Amino acid sequence: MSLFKARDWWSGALGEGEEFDQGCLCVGDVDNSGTGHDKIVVGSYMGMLRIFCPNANKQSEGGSADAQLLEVQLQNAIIQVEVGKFVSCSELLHLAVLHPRKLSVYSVTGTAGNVEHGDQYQLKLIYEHNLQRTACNMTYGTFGGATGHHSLCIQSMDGMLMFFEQDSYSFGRFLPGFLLPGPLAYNSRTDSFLTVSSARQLESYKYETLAVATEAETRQDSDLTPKTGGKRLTPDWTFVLGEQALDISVPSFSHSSSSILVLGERNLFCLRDNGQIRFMKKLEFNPSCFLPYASVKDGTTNLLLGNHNNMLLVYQDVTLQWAAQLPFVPVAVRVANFPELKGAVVSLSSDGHLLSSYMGTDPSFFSTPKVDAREADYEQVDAEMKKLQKLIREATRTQDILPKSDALEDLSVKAIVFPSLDASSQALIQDMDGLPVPSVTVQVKVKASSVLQSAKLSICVQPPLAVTQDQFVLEPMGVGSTKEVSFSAFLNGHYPPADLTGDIVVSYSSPTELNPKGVPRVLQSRFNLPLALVCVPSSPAKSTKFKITVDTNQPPVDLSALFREFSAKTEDKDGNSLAFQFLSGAKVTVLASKTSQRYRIQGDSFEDMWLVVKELVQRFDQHFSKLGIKDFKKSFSGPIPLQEYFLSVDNHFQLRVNAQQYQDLLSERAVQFRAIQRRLLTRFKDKTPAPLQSLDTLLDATYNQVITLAEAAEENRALLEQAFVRLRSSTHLLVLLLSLWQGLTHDQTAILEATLLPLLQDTPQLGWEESCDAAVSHLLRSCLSRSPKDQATSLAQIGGSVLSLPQDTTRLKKHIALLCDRLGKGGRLTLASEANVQIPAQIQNLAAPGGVEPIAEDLGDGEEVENPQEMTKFIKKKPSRKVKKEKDSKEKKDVSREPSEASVKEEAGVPEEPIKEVKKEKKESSKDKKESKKDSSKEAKEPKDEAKKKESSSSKEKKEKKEKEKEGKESGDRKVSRKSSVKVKDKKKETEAAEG
Amino acid sequence: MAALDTLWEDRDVRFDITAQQMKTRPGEVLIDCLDSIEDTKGNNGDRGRLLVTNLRIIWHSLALPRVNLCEYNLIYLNSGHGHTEALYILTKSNNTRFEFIFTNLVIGSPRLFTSVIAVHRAYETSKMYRDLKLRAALIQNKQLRLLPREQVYDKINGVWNLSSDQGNLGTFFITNVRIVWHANMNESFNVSIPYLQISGGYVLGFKIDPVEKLQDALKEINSLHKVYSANPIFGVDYEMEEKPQPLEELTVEQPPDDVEIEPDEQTDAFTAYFADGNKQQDREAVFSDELGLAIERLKDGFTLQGLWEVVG
Repeated sequence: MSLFKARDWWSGALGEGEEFDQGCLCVGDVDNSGTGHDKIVVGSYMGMLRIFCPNANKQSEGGSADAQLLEVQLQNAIIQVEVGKFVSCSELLHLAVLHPRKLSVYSVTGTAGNVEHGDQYQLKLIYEHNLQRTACNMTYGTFGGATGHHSLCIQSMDGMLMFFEQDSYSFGRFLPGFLLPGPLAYNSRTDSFLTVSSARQLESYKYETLAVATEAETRQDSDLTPKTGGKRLTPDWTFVLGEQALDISVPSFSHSSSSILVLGERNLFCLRDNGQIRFMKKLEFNPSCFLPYASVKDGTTNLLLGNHNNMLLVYQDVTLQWAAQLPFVPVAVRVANFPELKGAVVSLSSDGHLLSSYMGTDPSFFSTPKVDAREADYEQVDAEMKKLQKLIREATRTQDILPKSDALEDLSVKAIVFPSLDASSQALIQDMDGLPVPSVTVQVKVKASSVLQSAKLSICVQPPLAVTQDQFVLEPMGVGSTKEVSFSAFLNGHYPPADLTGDIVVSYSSPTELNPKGVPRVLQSRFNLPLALVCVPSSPAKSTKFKITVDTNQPPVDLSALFREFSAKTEDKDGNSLAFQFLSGAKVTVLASKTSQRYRIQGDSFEDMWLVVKELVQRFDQHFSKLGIKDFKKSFSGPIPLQEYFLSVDNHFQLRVNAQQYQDLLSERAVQFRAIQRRLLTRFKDKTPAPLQSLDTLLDATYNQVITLAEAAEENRALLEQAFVRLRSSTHLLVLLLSLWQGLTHDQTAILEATLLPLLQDTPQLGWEESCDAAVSHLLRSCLSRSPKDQATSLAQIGGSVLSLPQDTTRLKKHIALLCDRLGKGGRLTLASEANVQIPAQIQNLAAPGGVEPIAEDLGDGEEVENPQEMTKFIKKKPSRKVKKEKDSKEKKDVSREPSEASVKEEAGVPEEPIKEVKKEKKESSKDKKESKKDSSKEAKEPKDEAKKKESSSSKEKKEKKEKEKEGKESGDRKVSRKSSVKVKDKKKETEAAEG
Repeated sequence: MAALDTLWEDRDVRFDITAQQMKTRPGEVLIDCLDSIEDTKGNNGDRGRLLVTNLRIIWHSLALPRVNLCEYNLIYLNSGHGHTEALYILTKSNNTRFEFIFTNLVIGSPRLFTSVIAVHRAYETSKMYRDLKLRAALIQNKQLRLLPREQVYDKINGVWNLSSDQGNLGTFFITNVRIVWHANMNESFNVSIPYLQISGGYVLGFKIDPVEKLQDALKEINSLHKVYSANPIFGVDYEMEEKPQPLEELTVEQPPDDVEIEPDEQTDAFTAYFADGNKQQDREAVFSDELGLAIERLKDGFTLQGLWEVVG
């Protein structure tokens, strides 16, 4: 803050709403009184010309009117006023007034009266020039070394310098490369003109050069070919400022301090006459005006600088010497000598405050205290507190702020999928391989049972299915009002979706009495799209790659009756076979055995069978429940077609690896591209350019590589998307088969599904493989583990590194195979909590982040030795509920893909713990993957320490641990050995499965 | 000529004024009334009311009948300064500089001090109604440039201005607000005397021949001055969109005193409002060789450099 203030010695408020700027103020003995004392001349944009002779003593007597010597209303706006010897054969000072289209030179004469108010002044026009071009500013001086009188130079708005020698016009020149006018100054020492051009550089033009340059009366002439008899105008020198300038001043106090000063928008520049810089001062404020006024110390320049913080600063070269606060932002500042005061600072604001001041030398320390820092009114605060507390009490009693938990649903959402396909398809892709792509209309009815605000309805279907509109904004609804929206769903890709269900999410807020903005709530609903949307009936195929056989305990059903919409075209009239052809091309055939109660589904690809199998199972259930048969059972005898399943896993994994590789290659090429660019740039920047040495060719080639790679990566991404959908299809099928095989309950199937399909989407950062492996490993270690010890320790195995893309799928496959195997041996996916499992405190402590290296490899080893029955017993005894909870929360995260009823029920009473558990679990399971070479030494060390601590708990574990570490170090060897072991194991499992 | 009390409302800063002085004078109107305003500098913590008339700003405390008064002449306004929304008023009265800071206690109140600033602007741009003006741009093409609400009642030619030895022949314009004289030979030589200023102090001499004509002119001026005094036009016109209640209703009721106590000595309430610490007047200006500019004379024992270094 400013400590010192400018003391007003004399001041005045000029005009009634007039406007003033930089050129509007000048001082000088304009009336040639001979005393050498200055008068203040002020012109305004409204055309008022005023002359003042400030007189501090008289002000108190109400005689402030005396200070005004003259006030004249001129016809035009006044841009600039200057005092100088503008009349030939006269040593007297005259007043030059610049109007937009006119330059007038006046004489000001005074006649003294008996008393002050008897003094009269007269303004007499000596000569005037009407200007052809609109003027911007002017400067004056002894151009061309003329002595005794001043010439004038006016810069026009379009860049012409017009020269006037008293009452005659000399010549006009256009500045080269002109865009907008900058400040203008004349340097008498070098007889040149200075301006700052739109190129943000200071340019110096010699008067001599200007005089002999091409006579240009139009701008075009100066820009085009120069006429004969004149030279093209070029600056004498230039200096790049890098910013626009507010003002230029060329003071001449003494020879030793001859310099040019330029006030930029952010910096102050001082240059020598030849354009070399003397110094530059960075300003920490926005300057508004400046004036070099004296050279107090030889070789230095003193200057005044006004800024937009109402400050007036005094600099000696770059040193701040004094500062004073003004009551306004000055637009122009001058130093004047008055009869009673020498060295007064005259400043003018844009709204006409004229102040003649001197520097105050008493510091002021007062600052306003903050309003809110004041003492509070305790009574008032107390009353407010009581009021608020009362409100809170009421609110908690009535429960009105929060939605009533037991209240009826505010809203019901009902989706109706039209039984027949749309007459005219809404699909974006109208046909695939000659097959027309159909669409089906879905109508959603929303019925409100209370007032609803800002309701939004979104539709989500599985890719590559698409809908015509997926967002609906509903108007505010009253009680009992209904809204209907409808849209069409269709296939929008050349592969079948993994699921034909669609989700409807309605988000809304229901206002309560105390919360008028409403409590945000969400409601979900789902609908099933018909199978006919993605496939058409076809003729049965005889030989296929994959076969699945489903057994039932009921006599065979007529398939054509079950699938009425598909039966129309089939040639097979006995209802024994039915074939589906997907729009994408794949065929799936369903055969019903005439003799046994078996059904066979066969197709060329494993994953494509899923939708058909699902549909079949669903329709069976419906069919038999309609018939009233309660004990309908369907089963799958196995073996589980894991090899087929692994094909889609491998396909997906390979594409992910490819994506990673493309990513790496792309970044590598991008680095190369930038490196070449850098080299090229240094070559081009060089003043003596070196040959390019085919760098340009290299640049082109790299560019093409980058583009090609990007295209390939994009293609890969599309394939990956498709592969993921296929993987999900086959995983769904696998889960279905597993549940049919082992007759899993609904809850168990839900756990399995959540385990094998943990993600709705996979990303480069977190993909299906690692998250699935993490989930499967957890199941294997918890409810499907062999011994209580394992189960206990597994709980301690929390924390660890993040999940990342594994090196290969061997481990995952092994774990999935093991999962199937253990399920086959009677392993139960149960909901019971492992809270029963006593976790030793010691181990609990280990559950800190950073965790223990998990057991993973050992899971396979010694598996066969274990007695499966024993295991089952144990599992039954100490069932794990945590798994269930974990899955639930995971599901919640996954946009609540499948809100199973069980999970919802479970959710109610679950404390915070399970959520923590999930996080820990994730970390822990990711450890499995993290045994790559990337492992930093630090990470490797930590598990070691942990392992040491664990030694006491289990010697066997210790052994495992060591194995583990060894493996981490020599992962190269491991890869090979593991592969072979997996094969062996797989075989074993197959045999086991066959036996089971 | 004594019909009009000396106008002090717009040129003095007065403190602890009487209820009588708080009342509006003829021609003075209440323009705005702002509640919950704190006089931050003098009465920090007191809630008060700021009244804005076309001549002055009055602040009075709600709790205590203490009254501040401030004039419009020569003030600089600044609002929204620093960390609080405050109205800064810097003013000078009898060579003493005062600073007032008024803060709106209702944080974020949309109605800040816009009316004060607007009224001040209207005041500042209508000085021709109230101030003596010399050598101004009053005449254009031999015609008086009229102010809003001004009417010319008479134009008298052949009026001598006695301010110089030989005298200057000129013309009188007599209006409902002022008397204007200008020299016939030089339009720039003129004087504008509002009736408000006709009360002594500044003597200007004019002569009209013959004497009868002079008497007529005097009579006319006298009667116009009376009319003006009864209902002065200050020229500060400001239209508020919503009219506040009249000042009388808002004035704090004071029990009518039987005895009017004449204050023996000036109260020292004003000391709290000095713009610069405890200083009542600035020291005189002198030229500093060190700075090359005029400065306030330094106190004994101080140097410019020393002062600056302490600050820096």
